[in-house]
Amino acid sequence: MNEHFKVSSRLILNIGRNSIKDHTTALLELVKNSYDADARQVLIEINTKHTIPFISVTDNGIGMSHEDLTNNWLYIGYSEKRTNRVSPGGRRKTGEKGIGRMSADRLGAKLVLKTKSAGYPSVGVDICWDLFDVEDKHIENIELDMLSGNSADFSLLPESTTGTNLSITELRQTWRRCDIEELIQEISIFLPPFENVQEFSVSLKNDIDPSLNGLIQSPVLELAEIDMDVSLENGLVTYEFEDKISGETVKTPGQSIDWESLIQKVYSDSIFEGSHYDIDHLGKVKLRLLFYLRDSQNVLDSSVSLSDLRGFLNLNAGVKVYRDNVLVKPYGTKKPEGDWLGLAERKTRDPAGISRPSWRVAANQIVGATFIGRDSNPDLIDSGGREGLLNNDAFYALKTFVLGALILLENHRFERTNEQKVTLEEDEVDPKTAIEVLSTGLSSLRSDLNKVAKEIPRGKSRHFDKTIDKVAAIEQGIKKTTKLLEDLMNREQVLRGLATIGISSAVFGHEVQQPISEVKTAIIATREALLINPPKTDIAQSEVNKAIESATKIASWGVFALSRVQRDNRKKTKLNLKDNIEKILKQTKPFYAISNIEVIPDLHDVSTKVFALDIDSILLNLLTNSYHACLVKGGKRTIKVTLKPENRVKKGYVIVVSDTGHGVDQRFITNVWEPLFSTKVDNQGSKIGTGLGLYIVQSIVKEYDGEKAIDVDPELGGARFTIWLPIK
Amino acid sequence: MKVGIIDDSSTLAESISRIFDLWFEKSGITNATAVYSLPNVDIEANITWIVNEDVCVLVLDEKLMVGQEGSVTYAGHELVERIRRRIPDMPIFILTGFSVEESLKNSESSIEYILSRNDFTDNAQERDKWISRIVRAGNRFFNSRQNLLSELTTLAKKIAQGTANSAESQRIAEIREQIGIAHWSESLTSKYGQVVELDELCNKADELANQITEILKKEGCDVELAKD
Repeated sequence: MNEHFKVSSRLILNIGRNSIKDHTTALLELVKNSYDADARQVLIEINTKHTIPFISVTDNGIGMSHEDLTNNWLYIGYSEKRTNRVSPGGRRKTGEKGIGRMSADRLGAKLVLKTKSAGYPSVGVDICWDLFDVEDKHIENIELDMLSGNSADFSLLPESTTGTNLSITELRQTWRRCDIEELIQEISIFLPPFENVQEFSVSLKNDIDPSLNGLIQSPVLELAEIDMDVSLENGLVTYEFEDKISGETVKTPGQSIDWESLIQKVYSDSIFEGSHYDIDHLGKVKLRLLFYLRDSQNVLDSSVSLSDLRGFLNLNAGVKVYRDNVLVKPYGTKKPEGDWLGLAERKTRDPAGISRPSWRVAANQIVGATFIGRDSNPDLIDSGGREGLLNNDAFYALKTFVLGALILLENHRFERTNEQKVTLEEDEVDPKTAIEVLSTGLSSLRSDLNKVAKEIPRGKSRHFDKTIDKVAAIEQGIKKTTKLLEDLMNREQVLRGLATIGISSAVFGHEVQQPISEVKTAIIATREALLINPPKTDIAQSEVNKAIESATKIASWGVFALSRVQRDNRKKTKLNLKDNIEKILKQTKPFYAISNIEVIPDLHDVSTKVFALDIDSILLNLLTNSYHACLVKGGKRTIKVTLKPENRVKKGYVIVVSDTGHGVDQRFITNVWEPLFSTKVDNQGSKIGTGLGLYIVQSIVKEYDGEKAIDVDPELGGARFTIWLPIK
Repeated sequence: MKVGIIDDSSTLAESISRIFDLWFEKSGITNATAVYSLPNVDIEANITWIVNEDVCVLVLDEKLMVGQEGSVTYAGHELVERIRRRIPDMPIFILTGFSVEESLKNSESSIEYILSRNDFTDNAQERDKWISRIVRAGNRFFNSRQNLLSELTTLAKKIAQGTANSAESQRIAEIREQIGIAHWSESLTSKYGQVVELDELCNKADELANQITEILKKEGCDVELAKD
């Protein structure tokens, strides 16, 4: 007689228990079975407060006949999937190993399965797994209760005529809120988030946290800033974008790039593992990439909160691979090996900000799905273990394809963002305010955390304490940053003042050339007059007097330059601005006289607490600006300087400087305040000017919360600069 | 011989002109002097000044900002271009502030010499050299003008006597153009033309007066119209 292996009853339990990681995975396996059965809907019920707690999974798949049940489902290791790879509904079935059914054991000791297939009556089986957990029993010797007739009846899902129900009792594990959340997340990430979700939906009903009940779905997919569709076929990559970078949805029509060019984008030398692989062999691959900006912009008009978005991204960000619409782990998961594209390292290597051309996406900003198929991409094969694909040339080619698509996305974003260049000047929050807001937020967060910490039982608050410590560390960091910022701002102020001195000294210094020539020439004339025989003393005297006069002009420039750097200028004191401005005008008068420019003051008393250096800087930069403007035009040259109180949103005053120049071209009215922008030209049209003077003025005005304006002076005809500052 | 100085600093212009005068005195030159002016707002008015003063050599500042009654918008080299149109052979020396300015380098006008102020002030020998050059240029111009004028005088006498040939008439025109004087005969011709017109008008007035007298007589009035 032929002998045969006998199988211990315990073995089947071992197979199940050893290969199913946890109860979430176990439930997921049951969902997969429903999927393979062409179910359109699955309902999961987890009821722990019932007199008999249970988990039930009901689907409206094709169900099983008595024969299916006894010959297939009870046949361990049998997988119909090996013979019929595609479900009647056209789904490529998920697994091949035929032990997924054992996951029920992981969930509870008892299983009642009922099923109804088209054209057949309902059937069922009642299994108590613990019966198998005995020594010395052959698996064939354990009898199972079969169900039929009324005992096999169960509630089908609405509008369904077929389906299967698994009812699991004597639950082996308690279900907590976090387990429910994990389940939802597992299922939601198991399902391809993009395609044909309506074909397969999973609902949950639980009594641990009823707020989580309902259809499992991810509502955040529409919040992507960029939605990119890519496909690779026959060596050609075609792609299109839909983005909301400008605030409105903009579709960029289909473009294409050949495989060779794409490789070059990824690897500058086109050499990578798999570069010899014939891309036509790979087959058709599709890719969908969703890019998210992790800030409030994304969630502005939706019901999803920023923390929800971040939560979803924290869990689901990554580029996943779906084979026949089923997730292939670990790609795109949170495990270390999940970052199969090396996005984190890529970002670290070049952390350029989003406005720079070399900007790269961060790993937690992309939700992606690569769609491959067993039939369409036969070169992509399972690795030996249960997870992942074999790292062969085809796999590396796939990787290159996805990386190339990412680069195209990054380029697209950069180009579109530059098109949309929005000046944020008015919306810019000044750093000081930003830090204050942050500090307040952090300290309130810390006190909230402390409150919560008190609720946690002793010994369990370790992680929490770590979090509180982290927040405290951040707060310290913020304090240091605030100090640094203050130092920077002080430095900026001094540099501003020095720059102004430099600019005005250079401008007026230029003027001093003439008096220097005058002095030199007068001295020569004096000498000649004295050397001649007989000496002409009256000429000598006249020339000496002229020399003295010119030398005084030179000296006044020295006085002007030195007085600018006096220490008192850099303290905030209460000043009568009229005195300050008068002093400056007096000091600069000789320079204007040389060029025949008349300066007309119209100064009223204004007292305010201010840095004298800042007021000097504003006035001098405006004066040198007007000085240049006057030079270019002939005729009467005048500069008018006005100081008077003027109340706007607060009590304040205006400093107005106007001239008889050509005025500011309408086109440049906003540009003139920018650094290094200068329209100054000399008589011959050559460009002069540093482009810094007005930039300094606007930075001071901004710091004081003042206002600035340029228009045409009705009297003088040239530019009129009006600066309003509040009184402190 | 006059050295003309145009500079936008009257202080400087005066000092320079004094230096020239002292140099002339030191060198025993009695028939030369220096004159100066601020640039004129009207660019052409500068040329009038040059002609009226009989300037034979011009020392000109490149940077001209301040003029009589206001600021000017033209630079030295631009003034030179204008002068050249009227007096093509006037020797001109331009003074610049620092190194030679770009605008000056690119200018197409023919400027005899470009010198920086420092050339003038910093080294006595350099200054002497420059003053000599300027004076020589002025003398050359003066002499050539004198020659032309005496030639003109001779030719004019011939025309007045009616003994000038066509070559000589041609020559007068050339000289006239060179020194910028309008032909005397042209002015005469135009004045003559005016006389003829006046004559005809007088004749017509006479006729009218006669006609009026006739008509009045017919009406029985006996008047005599005064003819003036």
